[in-house]
Order: sequence, then C-alpha cells, then structure tokens
Amino acid sequence: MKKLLFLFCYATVALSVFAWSTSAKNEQLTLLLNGQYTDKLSEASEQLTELESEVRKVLLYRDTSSASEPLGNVWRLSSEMRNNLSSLPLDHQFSSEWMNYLTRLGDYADLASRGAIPQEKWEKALGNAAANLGEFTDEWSVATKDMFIGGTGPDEWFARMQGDVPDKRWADLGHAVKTYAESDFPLTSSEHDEQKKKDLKHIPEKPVSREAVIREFKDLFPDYANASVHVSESAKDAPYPFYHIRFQDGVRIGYADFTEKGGHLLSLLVERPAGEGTMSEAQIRERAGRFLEDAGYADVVFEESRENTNFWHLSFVRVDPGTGAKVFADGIQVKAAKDNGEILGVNSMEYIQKENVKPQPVKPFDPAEFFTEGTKVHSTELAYTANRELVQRLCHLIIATKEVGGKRDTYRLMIDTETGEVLKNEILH
Amino acid sequence: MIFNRSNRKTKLFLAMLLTFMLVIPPGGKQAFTDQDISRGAFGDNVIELQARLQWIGQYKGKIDGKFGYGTYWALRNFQQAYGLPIDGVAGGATKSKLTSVSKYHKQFVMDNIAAGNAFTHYGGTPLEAQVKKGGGGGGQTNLPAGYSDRDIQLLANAVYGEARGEPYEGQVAVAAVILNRVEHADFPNTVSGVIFQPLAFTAVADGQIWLTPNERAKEAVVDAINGWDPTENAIYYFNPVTATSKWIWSRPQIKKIGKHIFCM
Repeated sequence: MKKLLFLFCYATVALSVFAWSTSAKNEQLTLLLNGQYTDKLSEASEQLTELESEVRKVLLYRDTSSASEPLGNVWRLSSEMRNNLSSLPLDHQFSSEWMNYLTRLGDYADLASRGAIPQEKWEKALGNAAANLGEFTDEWSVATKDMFIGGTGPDEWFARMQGDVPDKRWADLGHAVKTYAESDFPLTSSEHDEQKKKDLKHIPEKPVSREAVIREFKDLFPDYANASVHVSESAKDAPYPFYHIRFQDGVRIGYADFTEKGGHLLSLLVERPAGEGTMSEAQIRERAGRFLEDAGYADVVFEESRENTNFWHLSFVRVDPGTGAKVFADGIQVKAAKDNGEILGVNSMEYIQKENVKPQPVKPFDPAEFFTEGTKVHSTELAYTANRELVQRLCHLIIATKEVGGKRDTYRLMIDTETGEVLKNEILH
Repeated sequence: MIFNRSNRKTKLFLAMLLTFMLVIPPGGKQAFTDQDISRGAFGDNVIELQARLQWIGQYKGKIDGKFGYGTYWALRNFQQAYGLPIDGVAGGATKSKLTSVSKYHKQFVMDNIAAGNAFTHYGGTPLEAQVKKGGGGGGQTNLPAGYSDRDIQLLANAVYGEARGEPYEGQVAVAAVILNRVEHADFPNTVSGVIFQPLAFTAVADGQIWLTPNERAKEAVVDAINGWDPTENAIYYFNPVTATSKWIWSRPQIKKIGKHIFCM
C-alpha cells in the first residue's frame, strides 16, 4: 500500500512538473511570438506614416529628377510594408486589399520614376493617394490600438482571423482600401487586355455542347478513344465557362479542360507509372512537335526542353507570321514520358486568345556599341515580350556571354527594337 | 617440381589480373548510355559528362546533373579543342573522345552528391582534397528559370501536407494556387511568403508541412511550375467539410477537384 501511495505521489509530482514546464514553454513561445508580431505591426505603422510623407514629398516637385528620390522611397516602402504585412495574422480580406493597394502604389511610383507615366497623370493619382493614405493612417491607428496595449496576443489575433463573422473594423478598413485602389490606380487598358487574355470569357465563338467536347477530346487524343469519361461543367461563378473531363484508361488517370466557347483545349494532364528513359531528347521533341501539328497548332516552334526523373517538359511558342518573331505570351507546354515518348500533358491555355501584336520599327542594333568589351553575342532573333506597362513589344532576343571573375555567364536579353530599352535580362544557368 | 609450382602461381596471378581488368573497367572507360546528351537533359549521363569535362579542366561549374549553359559552353569548347563538330550535343563521337581523354570516378562523384557535399573532380589533384563537407546539396530537379530547389522543396512540402490524399490533379492544383498567389498583387511575391502567410494553409498551422513529401507531390509541383493549372487561375481553395470560415464561401467558385473547392 505504501509503495502504491509512493508511486502515485511520484507520478503526480512528475506530471505536475511536466505540465508546468510545458505551460511555461508555451507561455514563453506565446510571448516571443507576440513580441515579433507587435514589432512587425509597429514597423508597419511607422512605414505607413513614412509612406504617406514620401507621397506628399513627391507632389512638391515639377522637376522629375527631384521627384525621383521620393518616388524611389515610395516604391521601396510599399514593398517593405507588403513583406511586414504578409507575416502578420490580420483579417484575410483586409490584408489582401491592402497588399493590392501597396503593389499598385509601388508599381505606379516605379513607372513614374522611369517616365513611363505622364506627370499630370501620376500627380493626380498620387494626390488622391496622399489624401487616402492620411485617412487610412487614422483608421489603422484605431484598428490596431488594442494590439499595442497588452491583453491581446497571437491567440486572440488568430481567433479573430478564424471567426465565423469577420471583425467589422477590419472588414470596413478592407472595404475602404478597395475603394482607394479602384479610384487611385484604375486598371490601364493594357492591364484590361491582359486580364481578358487570362479570363477567356470574351472568346468570339459560340458555346459547344458536352458531346462535341467529348468528340474533340477523343479526336485530339485518339489513345483515349476507349477511356471511361466523366464530364462536368465549371461552377456558375467561374470567370469563364469550361468543361472539365475526367477520364480513366487502364492505369492512366487524367483530366482535360475545354472552353465552353469554341471548345478549345485548356489543358490535359495524365498520371501513369513511368519507366526508365529509352528515347533521346530529339526523338521526344520530334514526337511532341508532330502531336502539336496533328492537333492543329501549326504555327508554333520549339523553344526549350527540360528533363526530369521520368518525364520531359517541352515549351513551344507561336511565331507571328508578319514579323517572324516568337510571341512568348502565346506558348504551349507539352509533357512527355521518357520511356516511350507518350504525350502525358498539354497546356495550351495561353495560346487560345493570341496576342494582337503590332509591327514596330526595327532600328539597327550594334552589339559592339551596346555591350562592354569582352561580351560575345551568340545568337540574335526577333521576339515579342511585354514591357512594364504590359504592352507587347518587338525585341531583339539575344544570347550573350561574358567572362566575369573567371566564370562565363550566359545572358538572355530582350531589347526593344524601337526604343533600345532592355525589357528582360536574365542570367541563364 | 618447385619450378612447376612457381610457374602455376604466375599463371594464376596473370589469369586473375586479366579477369580483374575485364570485370572492373578503369575510371577512364566508364561508359555513357547510348543517348545523345543535349541542353535541358538531367541525370546520371549529365553527371558523367560534367565530371569528365571537369577532369580535363573544361568545366568549372557544379557537378549537379543539370545540362545548362555552363555545361553547354564547356562541351562546345571541348569539341573545338578536339576538332569535333561544334554543336554542344554529346553524341557518339564526342562521348567516345571525351571518354578516351578523361577519367570518371563514379563512386566518388555519386557518394558526394548523395552526401550533399561541395566537391570538384579535377584531374591532377587528389580527389580527397577536392571535397568540402556540406555546402553542396540541391539539384534534384531541372527547373525553369526563376525557381530554386528551395522553392520546389517548400512547394512539395505544402502539397504533401495539404493534399497527399487527393488525386494527382488535385495535388497539381494546390501547387498552382500557391504559384498563382505569388503572381497576384494581393499576396506576397515569394513562394515562402505565400506559404507562411499566417493561417493561409492548414498544413502550416498544424505542422504537417514538415512531413517528408513523396515523389508524386514533387512531380505535381514540377508540372505546376511548368505551367499546368487545373484550377483555371484559382487563388483560394477549401475543404467544404472542414472549412469554418464563412468568408471563404463568399468567394466565386471555379471547380471541385477531389475534396477541395477552388475559387477566386
């Protein structure tokens, strides 16, 4: 009996010590997290004040070179605020709207500093932004007040975020920011065009029936002629209507999405066990090219391929018949099995609504004048890419190398044929 | 008698030596497979190609099995130096020449890659002196420009933690949603920023993101990074059975894949 009593007491003491130690650790972690969050919140609040002041400073100058420093600060602060904001447990809706506003403000400041927006236009937009930021700063102070005066910690912050009903203060703040974004930085026509290309709801073709889509699927992929197929339609709120086909054929399980308007293939992906690679890249590439040609994508050319453990991913891009230039925005990706080259994936979403590219003057380009000594140009061709304002521009696509610190770097540049502006510059590995 | 025994021993020794030479090829003759190796390739053939080019001082980059531009220029230089057609493709003649002028210590290279060590494979320097423990690593996937092995790892962890019981399409969809968020103005612009946004993903909140992802999850991530998006541009998803937030139901829905509803 004594032994039992001793064991019982011993166990109780051990458990109590364990519980106390765990609770102490939890409390320590909570305090640490609370400290981190409060620090981030405090930093975000200070940055907000600074941001408002920098926006006001920009408005002082007629001379664009004097405005460039505060414009640069607006761009930097908006980016730093986004980072802080993304690590704070704030209301989803508010956080999204505020991130959006900061992105647009930062982009606008960047474009303004590079002279891509007329001065009257950015003066007007930033004038509105200054007024809205002033108002927002006051409301932000009210909304975050109790987060600085103790009593609240991460638990409460998370509870508010996960609550069934959103916190009214934050919901109102989110709504206000959304209005600011719409009024201060409305979408440009190029942004609208890009959205349209993505949305696929403006395809000028008639809707096709479910049966027609199944026929199209089996025509494009005759290997699945005997597959069992299940077709469903997109949800009614989807940004564009489409058919979703799920199919199974032996060990192959996959999906294929087709637009309802015109019945265009959006993407197809098949999962099946894959064996060891036996085909060369050239054979795989040839097979993928033949598939695309048979499927009616006759105006695309091979761009690049990437091998992984069991599959190859290949990229093709459309060639503009007028200029012979590649249009990277109208690409198609193909996935092929390494064992027998079977096409297991096609992604043609970007190809459906082709870019309406415009001809453009091609000024002479002298690499010797453009690049520093020791730069070697290996290839030059024409290609279209979007500039910062999302307008498709004809460019010289150049692959060049240069020895830097004993290492040969490979650069892929896209230089506007008319303005000479470098729109893309990446180091290839 | 003594003479005979000694003669037999010599014959035995010579026979063993011959067998050894036939069975175990020297480092210089380790063979490539029959396939041509070109830019975009990945795997053991590329590892051997890089190691051999490095042995003769033509390749100075990391031996990681990815045939990128570093390997491409090194191969072209080699072809030029040995009077071969300069096309940057390791075909039969190039591989044969390279094999004859270089050595490949497969075990050394593979062991160091597996151990995640930083190492080189230059000829003329003792191999042991060319290894630095740790600091290597990565290089498990051949990716489009703009993505790192760290991104792949984090995405695969997120996909496995969030959707390991889902169909393959659903796993690609989860990866696509994360990538759509990275591109979207309303979200952080890095993969880690999106994944670790507070309460954005259940797997982060309950720690399941730290489970070791399987090959299927990694493959789903590679497909999403290469452009596949079965969600048709969704930026949210939720499980209607377990979702507690009323707000998520207010988002415009696109489609359902497995147990998840994908929405804008």
